[in-house]
Amino acid sequence: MTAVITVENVTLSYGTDPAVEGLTLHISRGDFLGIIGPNGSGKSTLLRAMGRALRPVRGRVILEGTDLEDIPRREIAKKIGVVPQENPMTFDFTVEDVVLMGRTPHLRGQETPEDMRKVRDAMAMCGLKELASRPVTQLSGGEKQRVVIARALAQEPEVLLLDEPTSHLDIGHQSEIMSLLARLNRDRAVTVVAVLHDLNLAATYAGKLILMKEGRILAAGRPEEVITKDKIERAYGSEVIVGRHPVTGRPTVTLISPDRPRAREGFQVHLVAGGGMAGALLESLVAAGFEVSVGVLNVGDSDWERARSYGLEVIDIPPFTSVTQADLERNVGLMRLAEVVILPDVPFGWGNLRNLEAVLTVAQEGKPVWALEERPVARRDFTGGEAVKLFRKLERAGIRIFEDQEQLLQALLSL
Amino acid sequence: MHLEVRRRRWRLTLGLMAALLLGISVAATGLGTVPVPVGEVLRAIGDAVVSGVNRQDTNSVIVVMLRLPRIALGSLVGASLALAGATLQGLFRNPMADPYIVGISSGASLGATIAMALALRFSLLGLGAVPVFAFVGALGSLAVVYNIAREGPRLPVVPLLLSGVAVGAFLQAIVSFIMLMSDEKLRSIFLWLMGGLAGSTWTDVRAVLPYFLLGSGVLLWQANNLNVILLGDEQALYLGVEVDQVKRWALAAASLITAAAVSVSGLIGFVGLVVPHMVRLIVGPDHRVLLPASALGGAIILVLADTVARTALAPTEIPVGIITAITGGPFFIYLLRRYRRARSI
Repeated sequence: MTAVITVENVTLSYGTDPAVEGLTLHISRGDFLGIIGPNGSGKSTLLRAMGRALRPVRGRVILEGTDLEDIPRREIAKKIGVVPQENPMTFDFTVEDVVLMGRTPHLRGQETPEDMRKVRDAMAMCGLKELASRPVTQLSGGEKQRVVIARALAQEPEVLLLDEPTSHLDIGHQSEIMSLLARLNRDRAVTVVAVLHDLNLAATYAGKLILMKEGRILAAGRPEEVITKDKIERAYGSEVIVGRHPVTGRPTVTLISPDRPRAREGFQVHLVAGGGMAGALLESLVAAGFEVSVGVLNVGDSDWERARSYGLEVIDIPPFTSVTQADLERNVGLMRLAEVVILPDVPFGWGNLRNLEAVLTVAQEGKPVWALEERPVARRDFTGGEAVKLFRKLERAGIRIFEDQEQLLQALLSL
Repeated sequence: MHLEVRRRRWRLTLGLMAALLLGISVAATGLGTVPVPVGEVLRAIGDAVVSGVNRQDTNSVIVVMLRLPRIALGSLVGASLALAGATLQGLFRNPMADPYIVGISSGASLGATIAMALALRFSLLGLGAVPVFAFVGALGSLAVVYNIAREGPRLPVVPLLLSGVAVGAFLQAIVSFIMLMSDEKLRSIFLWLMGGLAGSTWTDVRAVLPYFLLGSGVLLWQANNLNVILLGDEQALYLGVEVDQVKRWALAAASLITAAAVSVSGLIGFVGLVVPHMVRLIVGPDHRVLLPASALGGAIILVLADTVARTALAPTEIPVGIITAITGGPFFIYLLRRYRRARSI
């Protein structure tokens, strides 16, 4: 992979304080790079320097081995297309006119039929064919954004720089634009560099991310390396839960509302998860600020993945193996440390029946055990009655049963 | 409508406007205190082209020596003002911009006022002291405004507009002061400030023509870049346009043709502001057609207005600037309301 753009120790400033300081970055051909970070972290400034709308105070931006300063603007525009954040469209040009302006760096005098073919091609890629002769002043926000992207595509750039291409758009248009970029990146080998506001979009579409804060790179790498609870909280200064997207496997970020009731400091609970059925409860507990331990789980179970992605204490065993007596004892050990043991309505088979035995052990010792029964235990018993039998013993030991997850959570928070 | 189709319509529109200008010019040449029939007008022009002006022939003298230079100068001045207005409106992305917005009018006023107040008498290339001083004043004030506004190589729009207003107000105050101090010249200064084409000669036409040709050539050459700049300065940079260079060229060209026009005709208002808006309604915002169409439109409007100016109260002349302001003001308000309605749809 050769570097198409290299940002070399670049400092950028709008006059007084530097907006970007001593930043170095290599962008390889074919990358889909997302730039994330809080407002004022220098993302847009960095992008403007890569498009040579801003000259570095120190350092260089290098395009294919040549300092951007030494390349005529026209030649840069043949290789780098930029979609800025604000695109005033106050004059009654048609969509076709504006997209044709993307051919400006290639034009010598009047446009040729070849230019017009490329304009039509760009409009088709962005779904603008029907709108070709509409005045741009009459378009919706999403349509305008597609016009600007089509204009950049008409430049036939090798690199596409975009500054928050999905801001002001609804989620339908957001995914439409992002899929378009992904397609260009994949099918036409266009290198895409996008400043993205939405961390989940960034994690979903970008192959690499850089996380910026105060004009520097805080983290760089694959989405799962960059979007971690610790790094996101350090950059944005607000508390989040980082999970894993159920379909794409990419990290997801959920903001924890500071207004929600919070668990008491150091309130430890133990969750008997399993079978991928306790994810939502796990997430709510973490979000509320409980210190959660989990077990026993098979490695690879989605509950396991989620617990791991939050960095929780987990007792785990290899995939498709059963809980042994030793695991049971370790689990009981963790449960004894917790103030409450929570038994969600997960399925039970021979493999994890010992988790119920562990719960029974601590319940009989007098440990508070709260069970969730949105789904009755009989329906999740795959042991031919053993699990139900154990559950009845638990009931006799005096566990609390909740039929609704939210109720359980509220009760827990009011302790 | 696709570009190919529109280009054909552009050519047709420009052709029609040129024909209209020609027709109006011939008709206007016949009008005046001494009416000359159209046939006579054409004959006199033909004779003059073939064998020069026959000074014994009254019609020939009236047509070729008195009315034609005035109509030619009116066309040139109207074309210059509208062309400059269209350029600056696009360059500043501001519909209120006119050729005088960067302080050219007040600089020219000051130059002309000084020449008249001091009753300077000299001649440069056949031009009197007033036009020469007006021209120098216009370019001088432009230079001041430009240097206040620019930030290194960058030429930001808002400071340019603001310094234009500030310098203009300053120079205007000096003009007013000089006018107060020189009561016997007050009338001639006032008339100049109103703008007028009375007493135009072929010398004036020859003086303005090179600036017009040079300036409009530069502007047409930059028409495509001006289109791109309408999208925004930063957007234009990303499309490979050297925005500051284009701005300097366009500003210089528009100012030069304005200064030349003002120096021979005084301050004729509203043509440079209103005509580009009228033309934009017909041909759209594309500078490749907007600029030539504005030039033709400006010429047509000013020839018409000047014909009214010299015939309405004949033999008394009304300064043509009064005609353009009286008709242009209400028309501009009409455009404003129209725009507002269009936007609220």
